[in-house]
Amino acid sequence: MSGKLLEIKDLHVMYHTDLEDVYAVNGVDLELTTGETLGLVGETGAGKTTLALSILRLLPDRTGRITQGEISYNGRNLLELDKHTMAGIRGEEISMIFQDPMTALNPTQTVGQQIYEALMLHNGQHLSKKELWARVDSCLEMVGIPAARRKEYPHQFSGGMKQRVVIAIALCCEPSLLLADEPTTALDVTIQAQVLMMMKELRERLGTSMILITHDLGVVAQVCDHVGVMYAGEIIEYGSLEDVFENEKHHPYTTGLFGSIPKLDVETKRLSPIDGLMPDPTQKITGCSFASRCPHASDRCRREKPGLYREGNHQIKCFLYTGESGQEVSE
Amino acid sequence: MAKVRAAAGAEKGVSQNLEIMRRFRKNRSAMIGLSIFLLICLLAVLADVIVPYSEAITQVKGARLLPPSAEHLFGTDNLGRDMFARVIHGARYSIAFALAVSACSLVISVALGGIAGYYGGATDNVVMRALDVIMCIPGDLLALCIVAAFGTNLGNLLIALIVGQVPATVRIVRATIMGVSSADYIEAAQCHGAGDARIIARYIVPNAMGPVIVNATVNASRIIISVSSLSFLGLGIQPPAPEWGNLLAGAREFMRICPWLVYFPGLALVITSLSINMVGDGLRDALDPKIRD
Amino acid sequence: MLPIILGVTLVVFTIMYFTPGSPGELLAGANPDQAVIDQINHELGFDQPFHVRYFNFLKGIVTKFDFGTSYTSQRPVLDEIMSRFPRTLTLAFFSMISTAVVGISIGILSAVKQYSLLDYASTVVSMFFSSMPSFWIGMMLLLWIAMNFSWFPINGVASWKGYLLPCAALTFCNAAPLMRLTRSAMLETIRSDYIRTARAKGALEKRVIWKHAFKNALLPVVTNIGNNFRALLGGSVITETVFVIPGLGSYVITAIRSKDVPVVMGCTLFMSATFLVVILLTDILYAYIDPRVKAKYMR
Repeated sequence: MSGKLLEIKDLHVMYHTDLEDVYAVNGVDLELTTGETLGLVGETGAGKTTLALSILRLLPDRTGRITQGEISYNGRNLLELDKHTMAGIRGEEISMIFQDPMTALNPTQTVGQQIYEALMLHNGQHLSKKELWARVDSCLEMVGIPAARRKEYPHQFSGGMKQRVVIAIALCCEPSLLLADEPTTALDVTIQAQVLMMMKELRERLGTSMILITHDLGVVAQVCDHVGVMYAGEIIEYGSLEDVFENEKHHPYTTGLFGSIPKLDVETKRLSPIDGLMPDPTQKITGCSFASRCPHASDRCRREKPGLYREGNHQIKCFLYTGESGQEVSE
Repeated sequence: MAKVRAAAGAEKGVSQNLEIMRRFRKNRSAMIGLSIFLLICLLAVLADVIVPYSEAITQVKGARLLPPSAEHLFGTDNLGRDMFARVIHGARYSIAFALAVSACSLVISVALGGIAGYYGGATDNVVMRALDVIMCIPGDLLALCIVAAFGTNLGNLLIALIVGQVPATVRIVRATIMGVSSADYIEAAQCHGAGDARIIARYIVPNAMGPVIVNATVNASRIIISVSSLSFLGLGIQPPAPEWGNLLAGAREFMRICPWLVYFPGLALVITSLSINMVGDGLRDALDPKIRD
Repeated sequence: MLPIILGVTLVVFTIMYFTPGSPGELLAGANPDQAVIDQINHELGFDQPFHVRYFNFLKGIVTKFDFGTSYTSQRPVLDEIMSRFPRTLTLAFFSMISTAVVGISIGILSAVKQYSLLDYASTVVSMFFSSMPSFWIGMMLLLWIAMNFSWFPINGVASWKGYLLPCAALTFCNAAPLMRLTRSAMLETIRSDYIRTARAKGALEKRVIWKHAFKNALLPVVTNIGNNFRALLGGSVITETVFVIPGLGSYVITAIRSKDVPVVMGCTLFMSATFLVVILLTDILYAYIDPRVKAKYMR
């Protein structure tokens, strides 16, 4: 396979408001190779969206701050780029699909104008207006919307159609990395499947890498090559689809996550949800962030942060596997 | 699931109010405003103790248009009356009117807006169309007409100001109540069998109160300005009562030679309404903190 | 719109119906004979019941555009109004424009630069101005500016200079709340999802603000400017008194003092109708800005 497209090292992000500090991302390491699709799963508030916004440096101006770490894209540290260079990367090389298509489009501009803007901002080939509009049309058709509807406003579209427009905006400049933040959560199931299929197709055709954020494990299984499980701002387990879905060894949280999904092929009396709630993100956690809910937790888990256990490409942050040393272990 | 959780959130009304109080107390400008306002209220209540009312209306022939001095802190007016006494006693009118008009129009508006918002349909239509009509007449002018037609006394002034306040307030009350009553937690409450009375008392009122109170606060400062405007035009509180608008109207002729006559009552007006506005702003921020971060 | 105008006539008529005294008493001169008073009242239809008088009042307006005759000057109310209305309209119109320009531009600047010195300063200043009665601002302008610089006339609107200070007084106290509204509307818009979409597209901050946020933030502001015109018209009553401008506002005050009922009714109706026209215009403007509203109108 080709080289690393994106490399995140020890990323820490916090939100600072008048009332409290929220530690949203606490030391995330992540790698993405060209053409790969990575699924990020985890419950609400695990820091998935924050992670994606950090990559684009779109955290809320005053409150969100990247306190530590490095995000390198094609070898360039995104966190060190100036505003103009960063704006050039947004949309052109890295683009993002947002969670809620209902509010993601500007209500006072036609959908055509909104796609046109993205093309116009990254018009490296110096296309004429006419050519750009032709591109708008083909983008709309690419996502299955008749080109004639480009003159319509977002309120004239249904939720699924709006999400298609959002996807068209994100993909019109053929970015090399797509961050999809729960692109199907707000849609109903049949539309979900359509949108997912379409994204998969487009991605394959354009050769785009993707980070897919979701809490729907079914979607991950359909689309992703690799999976990262996030909990309280950390990636606690990472591996290929098979590693995470089928391998014997799992982080207790992952086990719990899968335990709370009904299975058709296994007879279970009742679902086994994970007890308790995610730790308060306003507090810094000293030990393992999952310790308070973990059935295997020991005193040590509450005191120290576990290192990484590696088995091939499969990584788990848990003392169950790291053994006595507690340091990074590879097998 | 979501609805049940939302209902739980609405039930937490008490702790939510505590949170709002906490945010309000942290807001420095709001606390300054509140202290100034309370101080002015205190001055109004204790006006007689500070300077007897007689000083505010006694005309001293030898002491006309005196500049501020130790004896007459704010100087004297063209009839030799002590401006300090007049300004202090003037606070009574402004504060009393602000409180009375706000309270009355709040009660009336909540009743009307509540009826319109909760029942909707034809009732809503009738109430709102009637108010549209009133909203169309410039407020000060409407008050002037009422006062002119019924005569200039305190009662009519009160009515005129209330009529001016009610339509806009009803709109806000209605919009808020409609927003709250269509919220999911109301449906959730109905689902687990809460009756109308319980829903109104436990869910709608606590949740709709915030915006309504903020609005009432902002209105209070407008009422103070309206009272003084009407008095300034000679159609509000009648001289020789020392209302601030009156003082300013009386001082107009002399403003060039004795500017203190317009400074002090005017500043009293500005400070009072400013303090109320600061409180209103603080309340708004406390209720809706999302804009601040 | 028509029903509302009709409603306004009814409300105004009803209120003025309760005015004590009768035109006869006002018109008959000093120490009149009761018979003369009755005679005049009869001629003016004043002795008829409420609904008949209201109907006649309406009929006069609808058929002959006749608002009655002023008790004090004996001239048709419409003529009296028309000779003064342009001044009031000029004042209100220019005040509205300068209010909008000042309020919106400062509001947007301070939202875009939230927590900057400019933001703090304009917030504090607007807080002060929105707490000031317009007549006091007017008096201060007279005291500090007009009386020190003879370039400004102290009263009247003989030349365009006469409009400057009254316009400034109205602008100060109306722009302050408008600025605060614009600021909060803008802050809310900047935080919305589609602004984030625009940023994610790679638009630079300036473009995001002007191409995306501005139009959306303007929506509540436009409505407010329309509603504000009501306050401007009402405020003109006081401002015209302070600056001694012979407009509709000062005229209505004189009429109220002299119990000239037809004039009061005529002026109030006129101002309300003007306000309605402005509201209609802002509705059209609103539809022009917001395609969702436009779609509703088209249907």
